[in-house]
Amino acid sequence: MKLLTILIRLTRFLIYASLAIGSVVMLIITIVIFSAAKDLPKLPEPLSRIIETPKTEIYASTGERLITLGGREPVPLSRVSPDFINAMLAVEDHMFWDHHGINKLRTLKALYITLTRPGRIEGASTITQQLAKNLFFSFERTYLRKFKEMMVAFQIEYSCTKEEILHAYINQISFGAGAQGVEKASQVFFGKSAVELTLGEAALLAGLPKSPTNYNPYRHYDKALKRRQVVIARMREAGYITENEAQEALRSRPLLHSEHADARTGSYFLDALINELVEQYGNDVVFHGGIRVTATVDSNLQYAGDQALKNGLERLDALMGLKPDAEPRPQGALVAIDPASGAVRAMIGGRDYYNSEYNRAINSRRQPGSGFKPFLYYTALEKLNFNGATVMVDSPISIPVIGSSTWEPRNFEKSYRGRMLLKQALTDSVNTIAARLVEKTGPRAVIDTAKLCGITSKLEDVYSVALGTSSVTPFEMASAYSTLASGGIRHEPFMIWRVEDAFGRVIYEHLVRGRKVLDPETTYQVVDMMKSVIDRGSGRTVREMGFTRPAAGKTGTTDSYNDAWFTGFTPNLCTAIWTGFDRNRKLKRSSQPGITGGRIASTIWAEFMGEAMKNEPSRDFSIPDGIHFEQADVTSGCSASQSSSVLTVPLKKNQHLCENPQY
Amino acid sequence: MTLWYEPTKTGEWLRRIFSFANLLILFMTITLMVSELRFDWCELMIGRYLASLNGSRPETGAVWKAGEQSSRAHTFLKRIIEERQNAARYAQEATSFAELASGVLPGQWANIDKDHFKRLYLAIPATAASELIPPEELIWLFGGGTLNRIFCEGKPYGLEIFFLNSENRVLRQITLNKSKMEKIEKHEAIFKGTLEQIPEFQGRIYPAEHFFKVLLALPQDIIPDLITTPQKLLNQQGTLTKAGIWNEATSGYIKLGFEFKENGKSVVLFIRAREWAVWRLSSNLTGTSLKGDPQ
Repeated sequence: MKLLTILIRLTRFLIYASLAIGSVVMLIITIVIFSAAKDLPKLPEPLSRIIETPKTEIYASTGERLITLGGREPVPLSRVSPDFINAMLAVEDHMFWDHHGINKLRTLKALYITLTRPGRIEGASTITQQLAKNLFFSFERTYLRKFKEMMVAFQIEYSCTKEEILHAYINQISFGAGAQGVEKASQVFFGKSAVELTLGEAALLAGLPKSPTNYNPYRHYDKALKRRQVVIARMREAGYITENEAQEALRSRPLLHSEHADARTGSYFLDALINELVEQYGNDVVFHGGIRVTATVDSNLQYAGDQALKNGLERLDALMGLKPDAEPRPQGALVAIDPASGAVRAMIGGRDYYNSEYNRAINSRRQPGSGFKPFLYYTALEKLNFNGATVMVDSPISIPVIGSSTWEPRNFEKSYRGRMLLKQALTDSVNTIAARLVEKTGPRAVIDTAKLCGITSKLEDVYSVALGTSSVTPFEMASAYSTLASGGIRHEPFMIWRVEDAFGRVIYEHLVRGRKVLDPETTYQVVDMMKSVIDRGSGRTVREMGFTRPAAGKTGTTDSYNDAWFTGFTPNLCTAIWTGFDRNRKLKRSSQPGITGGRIASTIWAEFMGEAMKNEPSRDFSIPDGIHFEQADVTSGCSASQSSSVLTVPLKKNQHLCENPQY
Repeated sequence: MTLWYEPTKTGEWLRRIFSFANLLILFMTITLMVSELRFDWCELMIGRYLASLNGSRPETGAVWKAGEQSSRAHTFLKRIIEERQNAARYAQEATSFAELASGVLPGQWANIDKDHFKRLYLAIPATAASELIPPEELIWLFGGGTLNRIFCEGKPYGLEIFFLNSENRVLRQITLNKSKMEKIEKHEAIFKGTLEQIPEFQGRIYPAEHFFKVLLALPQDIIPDLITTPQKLLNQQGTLTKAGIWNEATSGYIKLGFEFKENGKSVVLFIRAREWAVWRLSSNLTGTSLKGDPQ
């Protein structure tokens, strides 16, 4: 009896205590709910509004869509593979259709584990809770956040149908690699739409949201497959698939889309374009404004440039004797501009975007070497009334410099050839003659010419500027040479043709404005000399590679072989190529000759231009009205006799052979 | 020790434990718990309560932030479009180059119809027009077949006008200096003398009082097409004594002359009015010209 009494008292105490505690807890919860409710974030109505963000689209000049920014492409559930939906439900929330916001048993189990096993946090969030978290809350892991998330989940369940919730969830969840929403993820990872996903692909995708970085199949393919095993097992347990289907899916190895590795654009041109857009319009408009941009890039040329540069740099690796895994490797840049408008047709800023996003085409300033000479020659022809037949002397030269040591430039070959025509001097890139020219014109005039053409970098007012000792970018070289290619008409380079808003209303359009900055006849005389560079001179590799169209250009190699350039043009396209190491290192193998612009950069140019121009009719440079041609003896510069070696030179109306000798 | 209210017999204990009240409480508790597990009425109740408060809750959280960014972008773009549309409207309604230059502000741009450009060009004196762009060049531009549209860009000094082909290439660019145009138009707009001294107004000169009486009796929408630049008249000092109608139309406009007298001196201000509105005015002015000549 005594024992029974104690038992009953204990039982009674426990019951009353439980009731009291339970009541207090319920009271507290109710008070918290009422007080927290008014501060909870508002739920958008309808729920689909959360996924309706306008996307910015960027198109190539050739019409293809290059990239979308910011927006999402929501797809209805009917346009999503059922395997994917089943996979998501099986792995994230197999009781989705039955609960009203939380899975109580799972929550209690998770709470028990969290409380009894310190350090281990068990997840139990339903799809609705995950949706609430992604929409409103940060990733801060606190009980208060969980509580608020739960309450919002209740409201979502009350206000929306299960289909609406599932639709919102799969269209906004992040899969990593810049893919938000199942359609984007499907395109990024598999290059197909969500409705086309196979079971194996769907299960792989469904496993990513748990940890998009760790399970990114581009970086951790095996981990992604292991995670997929879990997904498929859950699908099997939930009865969505049979054992056979599960086994078949496990055996499959989904093929990833080759062109997307992560959220980066993958394109130097697009990076530069997006930067320009952000500078002009701000982040909000570019990433959330739903604008439509027509860019100047030709996607075929961009691809051709990428391939030509890659191939050329691989050849350079071989010339340098570099092993496949050697680091650092030489880099390169390519910029192609339409001289008739200034439109940037292609821009490559390095050998591999995913290894280095640094855009050397616009950010890397390097010495152009002899690539600067065309500006010098123009200045000399214009100021001094020289022409291609003007005779100069290639011999040692010393030019005193006020406040500095004497300047004694030497030829690349370290030898001198005596009298020669100016045309020959540029063809063979003779430094001593260039020095004589700049001594006569003054460096300031050469700088002015270069600036008129489109060089914007600071150029030092010294004689050696004529030999390319001031650094410039490949973009500037392409832009400046374009002025020569267009007969002296300068077109500012640009990357954007047009910007429209989401309704097609024009916000910006580019006007093609040319400005005559150089004398067309003098320009033609310089271009004629530059043609000779390709036909017979330091750029003749271009012809040896089979490029037979009328073209003009100039090689450039710095003294220390740090940089190898080739910039050249046809009447339709002007392209600058730069190669070199990012840090001071020579393009030279020990005990071997250094690698010049004519040896590597010109080959990249020829490969690219051959591909770029293949469908264009062949066209020669227009000859200005005031130009006539004469045959000049290569030694005297006078009219050629029958037996002498001759060069054909263009002359202006007031110019004649055999006048103004410079010896 | 047994408490005074506790039973002493086991049977009594059991009777009290399993009393109706206890069983009822137990049953209700179990029913509540089971029904909650089965029907989730707690979640639904909370969800319903929160839904009722939704309208008054703050728009916070990641999804609303993204919405704010979209909203800001939309506002920015809307402003650009509105400016563009305003500039386009001013350009369309401009009755002179000076007005065109005033309507398209620096940084704005607008397309202008070819015919409209022609009208404005023909309305300025030949010498000024030639300075702007030689007529023979304009003939070739308009007639040559390559001109696609005319694009005006606002500048601090006036306008840059671009004649574009279908590829947006500038065929010709001209600079319109706003102050110069205003001077030309002003010079054209003032004559020191009386209306009678201008032959082109002969037979069409009316007392100002009568002229304005008839004018103000016209429908309201016609009057702005008659007094197209009211500020000229408002800025003029003196008493308005007479008004006259020019004897010919040019490019859809007819000049009106307004004679002001101050300190014994007369000046005549000219305003270009739309031809059709002038005809309407003229028909109402019939038989009441200053010289009494029937119209």
